[in-house]
Amino acid sequence: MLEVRNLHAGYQNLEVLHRVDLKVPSGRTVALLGANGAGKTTLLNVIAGLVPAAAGDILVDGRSVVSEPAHLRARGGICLVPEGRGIFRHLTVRKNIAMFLSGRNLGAALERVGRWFPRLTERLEQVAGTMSGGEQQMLAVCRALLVDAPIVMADELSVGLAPVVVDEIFDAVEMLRAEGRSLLIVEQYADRVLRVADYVYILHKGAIEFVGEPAQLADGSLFHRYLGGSADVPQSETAGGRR
Amino acid sequence: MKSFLPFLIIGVSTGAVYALAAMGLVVTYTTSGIFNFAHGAVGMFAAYIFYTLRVDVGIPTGLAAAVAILLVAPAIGVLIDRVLLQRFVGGSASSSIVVSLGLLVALQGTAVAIYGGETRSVAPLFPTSTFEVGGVRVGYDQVIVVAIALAAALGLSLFFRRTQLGLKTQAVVGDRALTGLVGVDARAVTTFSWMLGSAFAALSGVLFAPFVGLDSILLTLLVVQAFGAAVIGGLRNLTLANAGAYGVGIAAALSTKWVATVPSLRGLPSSIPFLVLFLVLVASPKGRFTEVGDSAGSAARRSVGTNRFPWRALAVLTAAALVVPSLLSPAKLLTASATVVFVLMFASLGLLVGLSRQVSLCHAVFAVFGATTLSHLQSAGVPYVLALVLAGLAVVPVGALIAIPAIRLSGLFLALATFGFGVLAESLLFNSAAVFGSDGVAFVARPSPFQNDRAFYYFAVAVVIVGLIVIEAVRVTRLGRILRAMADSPVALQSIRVNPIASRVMVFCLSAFLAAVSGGLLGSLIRSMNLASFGFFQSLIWLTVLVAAGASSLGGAVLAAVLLVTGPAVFTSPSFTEWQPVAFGLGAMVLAQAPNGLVGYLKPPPLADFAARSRWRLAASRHRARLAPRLEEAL
Amino acid sequence: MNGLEARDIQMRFAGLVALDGVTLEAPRGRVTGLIGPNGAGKTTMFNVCGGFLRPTQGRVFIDSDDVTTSSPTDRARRGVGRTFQRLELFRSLTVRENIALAAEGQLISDGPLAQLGITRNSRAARVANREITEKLIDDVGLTGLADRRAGELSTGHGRLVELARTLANRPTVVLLDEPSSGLDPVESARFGAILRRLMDENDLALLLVEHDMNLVLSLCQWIYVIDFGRPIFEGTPDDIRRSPEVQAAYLGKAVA
Ligand SMILES: Nc1ncnc2c1ncn2[C@@H]1O[C@H](COP(=O)(O)OP(=O)(O)OP(=O)(O)O)[C@@H](O)[C@H]1O
Ligand SMILES: Nc1ncnc2c1ncn2[C@@H]1O[C@H](COP(=O)(O)OP(=O)(O)O)[C@@H](O)[C@H]1O
Ligand SMILES: [Mg+2]
Ligand SMILES: [Mg+2]
Repeated sequence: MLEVRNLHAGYQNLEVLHRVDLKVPSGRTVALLGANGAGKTTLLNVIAGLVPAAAGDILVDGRSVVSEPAHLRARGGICLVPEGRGIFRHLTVRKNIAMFLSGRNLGAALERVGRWFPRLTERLEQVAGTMSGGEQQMLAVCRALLVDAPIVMADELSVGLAPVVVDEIFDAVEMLRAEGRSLLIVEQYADRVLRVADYVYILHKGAIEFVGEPAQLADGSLFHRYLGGSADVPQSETAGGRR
Repeated sequence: MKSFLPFLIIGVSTGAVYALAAMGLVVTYTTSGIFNFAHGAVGMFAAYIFYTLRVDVGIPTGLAAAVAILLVAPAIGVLIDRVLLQRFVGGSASSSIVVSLGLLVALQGTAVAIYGGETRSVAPLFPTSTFEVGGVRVGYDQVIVVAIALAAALGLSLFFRRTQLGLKTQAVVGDRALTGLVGVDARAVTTFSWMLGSAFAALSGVLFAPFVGLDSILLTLLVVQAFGAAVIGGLRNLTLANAGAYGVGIAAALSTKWVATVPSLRGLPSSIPFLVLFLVLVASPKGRFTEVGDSAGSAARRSVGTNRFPWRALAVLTAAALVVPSLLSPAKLLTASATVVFVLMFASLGLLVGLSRQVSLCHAVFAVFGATTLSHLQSAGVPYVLALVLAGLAVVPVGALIAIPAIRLSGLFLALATFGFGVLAESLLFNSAAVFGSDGVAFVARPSPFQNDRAFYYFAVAVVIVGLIVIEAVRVTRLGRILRAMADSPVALQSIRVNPIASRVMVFCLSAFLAAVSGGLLGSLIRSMNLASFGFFQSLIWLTVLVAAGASSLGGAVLAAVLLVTGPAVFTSPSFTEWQPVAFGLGAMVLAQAPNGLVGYLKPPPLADFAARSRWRLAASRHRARLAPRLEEAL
Repeated sequence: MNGLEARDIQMRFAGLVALDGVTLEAPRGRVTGLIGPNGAGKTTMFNVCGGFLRPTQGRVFIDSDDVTTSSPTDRARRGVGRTFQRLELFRSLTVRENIALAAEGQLISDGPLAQLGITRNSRAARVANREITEKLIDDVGLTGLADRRAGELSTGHGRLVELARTLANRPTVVLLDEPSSGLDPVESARFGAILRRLMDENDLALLLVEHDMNLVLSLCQWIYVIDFGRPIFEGTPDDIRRSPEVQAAYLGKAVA
């Protein structure tokens, strides 16, 4: 189980996350929604150890990892597929996969990759950064599937993927779920992720504004209140209606 | 054919020396993202340690070599990585170059402080007996060095191709954050890279010491000659780097045969490595040279200066400059004038390094050409101010000569091209009568109304202030904005109808112009300039001082001038001067890792930061007050 | 024809044929879609149209002029503007500076003196610039972020900056490469509205690459579909919806 308590974090002189509490129970899938710039990426990066937490705690199965560096958290079972650049762009596809595995059996892994994304196995010797945007994203997604981390966080997995491939990605998410992993998912296609999620969190301007089940969002009003928020909405305007 | 054989053999054994050095450069670059100018210095230091162990302590040769290469050098590597490079983030060419230049100066300074400056001879490591091939005597030691170089090449390529650790070292340079996410300790890998690179440097140092003698400068600069070979491999391909090394070695050896009969070309053989460096860089097709490392990581930290014209700073500076002479004894006036002129020199370099993030390692050449052209024009009777401007303009084509072909090169590779040009200019052009005249000294007169030191000081201040106004004006114009944008994304610039090449050439030429003008002023100040005034190493020192002081603002240029000129003139105690290079090198290393060097620390944090911070705190506390529902409720 | 035309484009990368005989027209006044599976060659096609790649075969025309061999800067001056699939922002400049830099390009010519800001009517130009910049910042909804460095923005906001920057240059041919990826649903919708208004107000040729089918189908009047670098279909959004081969190769369950 992944638990975030009282978390504050940000960049140099900007606090982005204010007192965030979040729980991903074992084997459950949590969708994290929010407008652009709400702090979703930041939250995931803090949990993975890429951005330091200013205050608060992060627990994996009750054990605090907040002071551990990213690589220890990764070894401890947190896998983040980051936004935008989840691959080593200057290495070949084969070397990327070898890095993801950190020394484990490459042959078997390549076979599995071939089953998910046959396109990638045709490109093993291509430098990953020269592949098309979607092909790069496929490679990034591979990592979540290849490593057996109990906690998987995905930041906008389906960005830039053709609709057919998005279907496959969501099949992959289902697969991870079926394997009993705990998932924390940030997604552009909110309706699709809500179909697989057990719980939903809405992050608004760096604070959790809603926690509940997908069904509660069905009428769309909450959706609009929080996901409509954009940079030019003055701070006072949102101080009004809360849940 | 027979007559070529001896040269061929010499060429191959020199090539092996270059190959070892080039491989070392490639290894450190591909695994740490730093093109290590100090690679030779690390080797040199290890060679001294080896010498101490072998001669002073009396340990058997083999063991001493093993200790130096396998224990001491890796320890130096750990020290470099863990202590000196603690806050290093890749991505900016100038900061990574300066970090390694600082290391070079520090190591060399330490060696001189401990062992003294004179060359010591080192007993050979290997049997010096010879055998005969086709009528030519070949030393066994030569053969052994070649064998070691080949074995090292093989070992390294296996390491990178076949081992997981080799793979990790490549991954870390490309994307540190992601390396962490896949569960690899990026810090440990980087430390290992430095250990490996240092051991490699030590191997070369220990091997070469018997051939060239134990000399802190010679051993340090030996590696410089391998830059060309390393660049042939794009700084990352070991096979090509090796091929290049033997090619350069053989070419240099053969050229000695040919130029023996042409005295005016006697500088050529030793220039061949640099010719190769320069030509390979400027003549290769676009896209051949790409840098390792992710620039995104460092973009946020990088300081690119403000876009406001610093009226107040310039006014304060002018006022201060006008008051200074009345506070100083006349004897100090020369130092003050030199400082003032160097402000312009550094500001011109800052225009390149700080604003457009292009690194020039040949600024001294511009200065020298400025001074010598001024001298020539004066002897032709051109009035001073006109001559000074013309001297500046005369150097513009030289700037363009480097900028135009090199313009397709990014960061580090542009820097290396300018470096190659700087060395070539010194070794090939400075010797020719056209530059310094037949007796190697160019006399530069002062303008007639400003003959005495005090008057000339004011004259220099006036010229420098005009120069600074031009530079600061460029920063705030469209050109300035384009230059700041360019380092982030040249393709995006093209898509908004800006031709980035024109802007880059323009700023390079402007910088060269101003550097030449400063050079002319310097010449007038000391009334002459000779071959030894500004060697290619000066350019490196200038860059180092500027980046350490802060390259992206006027304040940085002023501070740099004070550090370079005034500092040494004030601190003259012998114990200090002995360790001064060490302090300088270490200081530069540390400061080059800061977003805007030393001036960055001197400025109080802007008020806006506090405001932003308190706004966020406020928002946070407001939020806490109306507290979000507890989690447990919902789950 | 006014607008962009690419005829029979072929593009090879060492051993790989990324485009093979693709022809497309993006006339002014029409939103043209270019869709296809990942790796089909859409971005490559953009690079060819924008001058960032020289095609191994085929010709590119802007307003009926052959521009196949001209540089990206040249084509931009002829009115081609584009966004990039992987964000290309001036990360160390603020949002406002990003947009202003592009806005200036229209008003100031690119001669050496003009670059230094020494132009005759530069004051009037500067005012006009500022107005356009502020209007665009408003239009795309970045008002609160105008003084932040572009490198500090979230990806979605970065997309908006790129769009505003492209428009600031007042192009006549606009190539947008997955402009809505990374935008939240509301911003996506707003984005569609911006493009519609843009089309109403200007005589633009818009070429859109996008995987968000709602956006593509509602915005485009004509859509090209390519796969493995070859054209496989073209038609109106309704044709696309009905085509079984597009369904199979690309759409999947997305548009049922
Ligand atoms: N510089 C390059 N070198 C080698 N192959 C390349 C290069 N650029 C693109 N490719 C290949 O060309 C093909 C087309 O790529 P392109 O980027 O045009 O695809 P795309 O249609 O934009 O896909 P996506 O929707 O995933 O972005 C891909 O298979 C890609 O791997
Ligand atoms: N590297 C950074 N430096 C400074 N601010 C940043 C950085 N990355 C993100 N931010 C800011 O943090 C906030 C949240 O961004 P992010 O977490 O990326 O949002 P999301 O993923 O929800 O769209 C935004 O206001 C953004 O501008
Ligand atoms: Mg995000
Ligand atoms: Mg693409």
